[in-house]
Amino acid sequence: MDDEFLIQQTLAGNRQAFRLVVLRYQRPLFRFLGLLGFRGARAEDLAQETFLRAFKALRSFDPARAAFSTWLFTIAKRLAIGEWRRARHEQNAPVASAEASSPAPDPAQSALLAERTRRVERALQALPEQLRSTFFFSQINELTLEEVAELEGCAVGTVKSRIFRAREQLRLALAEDET
Amino acid sequence: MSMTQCSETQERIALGEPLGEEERLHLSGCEQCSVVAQTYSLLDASLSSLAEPVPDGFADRVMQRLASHELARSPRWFDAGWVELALANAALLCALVNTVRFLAGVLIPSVSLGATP
Repeated sequence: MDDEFLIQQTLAGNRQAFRLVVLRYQRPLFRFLGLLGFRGARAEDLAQETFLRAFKALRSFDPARAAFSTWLFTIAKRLAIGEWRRARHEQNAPVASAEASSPAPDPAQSALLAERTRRVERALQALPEQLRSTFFFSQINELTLEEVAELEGCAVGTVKSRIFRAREQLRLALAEDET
Repeated sequence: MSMTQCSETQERIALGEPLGEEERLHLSGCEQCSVVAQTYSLLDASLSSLAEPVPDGFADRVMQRLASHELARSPRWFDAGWVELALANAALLCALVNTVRFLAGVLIPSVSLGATP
């Protein structure tokens, strides 16, 4: 069942169709929010709000203008940016925590992984805003490069170039610390 | 070992694009590119561990919120179009009747509905 069909069904009053939309997009949405540093209850609040807003505005969604995934992540992006600004204003910006990652069975290995994850987090925060935003969207498997380009308002070539630069910076940050 | 081959291979690895036969061959013989590929693997593993897991029952909670949102928005009986129209008409009729009674009382006191004979 494609998104368009599920949306038509939802608009016709079939609530279960929207449940399928939620189930389809919950994982990429949480992945996106996790990369942005939102964890636990804050990630859940934002994710719920994203789906609720999408539901309320579903009639305004025009499949001829954008894919549903693009539209949904535009809502998520706006909400996340708003939350970032609000949190920053309150000096309570979301900080991703390596503790949230699942621990490896070996304590030494676990510590190494956690340390590496912390370094990646720091490197992510150090990325220029534009690179970071494009890079986060590129990490969502459900979005094609074309959709990321639409979300970011740039050409596919620019998206590719930004992804390459972001990953290169992250790799260098990781390699620097590994040596 | 050509620099062009190194940069092409590394760019493909960075973008997560599949390597061609020639690039795979190059990777197996180039220490520099192997190190780069290994670091990208570590990076991808770290990025995966940053993904926030979906909490249990998340979809149910979203659906509950939607249900309460819809309940709050469900039309009240007096919001229905025909009820609104009927109430407006009734109010207009009352106003009309009262106007007629008033005018009748003023202009023809003998037929005033409220006056005693």
